[in-house]
Amino acid sequence: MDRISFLGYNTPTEVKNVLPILAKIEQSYCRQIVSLVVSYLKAKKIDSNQQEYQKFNQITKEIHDKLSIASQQQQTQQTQQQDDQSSILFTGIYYILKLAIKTKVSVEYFITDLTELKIPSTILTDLQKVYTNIRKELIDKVLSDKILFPQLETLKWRVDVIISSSFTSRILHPIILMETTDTKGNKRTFEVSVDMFHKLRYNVSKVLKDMEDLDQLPILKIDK
Amino acid sequence: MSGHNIFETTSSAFNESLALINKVDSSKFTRILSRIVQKIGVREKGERIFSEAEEEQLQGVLGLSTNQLRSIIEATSFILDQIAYYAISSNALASQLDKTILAKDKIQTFQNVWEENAEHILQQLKSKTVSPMVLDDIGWRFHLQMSQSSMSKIKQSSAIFEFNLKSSNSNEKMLLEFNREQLQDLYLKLEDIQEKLDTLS
Repeated sequence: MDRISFLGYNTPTEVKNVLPILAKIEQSYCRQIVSLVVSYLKAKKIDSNQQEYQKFNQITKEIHDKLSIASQQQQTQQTQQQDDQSSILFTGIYYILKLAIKTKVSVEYFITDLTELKIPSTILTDLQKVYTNIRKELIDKVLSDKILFPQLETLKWRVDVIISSSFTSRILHPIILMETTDTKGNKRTFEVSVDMFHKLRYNVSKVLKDMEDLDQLPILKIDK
Repeated sequence: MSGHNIFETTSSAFNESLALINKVDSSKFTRILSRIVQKIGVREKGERIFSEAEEEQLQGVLGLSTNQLRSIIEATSFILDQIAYYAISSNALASQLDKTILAKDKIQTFQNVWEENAEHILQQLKSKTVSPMVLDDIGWRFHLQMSQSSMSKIKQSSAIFEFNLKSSNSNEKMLLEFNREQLQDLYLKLEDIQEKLDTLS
């Protein structure tokens, strides 16, 4: 019973602001805005590369343009409305969906909590449909889109046996060469002695074992 | 290798140096030799084995001129370099040095010093690398991610590995983050390498 709305103890101002507007706007107009929010959510990325960044910029620009046009159209129809109504609407709906994704709220609770805010049922049905459709996709996206250290993209290796060198004529020691590329595109080539290789292998398997052990703890149901 | 004369040299300077060594007091020569042997393989090209002050001191003790001392040091390190390069046993060393004009007591000194240091020096020389970057150390941290700015209530394990890469003039740290799947991939690759290493031994 004491469950708190997914919007938090206090409904955010951004959402509060949108409530009076939702009560009087047309469904088709609202749908336009909702679809803009969804495309924004899907395009947004923390760790974007140049190409993605440009794409994202383009999408935000499109959203901006459409919002201003929508605003103007609304204005001609209902002149008493504010210029920035569509922006407020966009922000409010963005907050609702963002917080829903953040808390991974179930569709039922999503409806319950929004009904409590007295959102018109037509608009609520639209939001519910959208949320049901994008919930899984966006949760996955957000989970994979996080601040990360660079990750290992490729690992190439080579095992050599050194025959001789300028220092001594007979060596016959194996040596490992590794070339790593991380997700930031940095490439490094380095030599690994057999001793150091054993250390690396031991440590990797130890951490892997720790991860598996942690998985077994019933108290921590790990998201895979 | 034993048939081959590794100290064969047409340079009369080398023989002159050996003659100088023969005149040096045995116990003093032992000390000079043990000092030089420490520098085999570790010394950068052009680096001095003795500092200028030390050389002056040695000149006084041994009653030699600057040039005479230099040629003793050079001949001695040449012999040690050759021994180390061919990695010869101390018996082979004696038979090789017998072919030169070096006196018996000095040959004995070389043998003693070499026996004492051979393993250590050869190990060092074998692990000497020409690669610009070498993996020097590994560190890691294993953690469970609980939440992030865009999502609460997460439970995902992840590990950060730090690869310390050493090159001749600097150290570089490479940080890589792994989730379970990625770490498993890495582990399988390392197993591949291990398999190849096993076929070698």
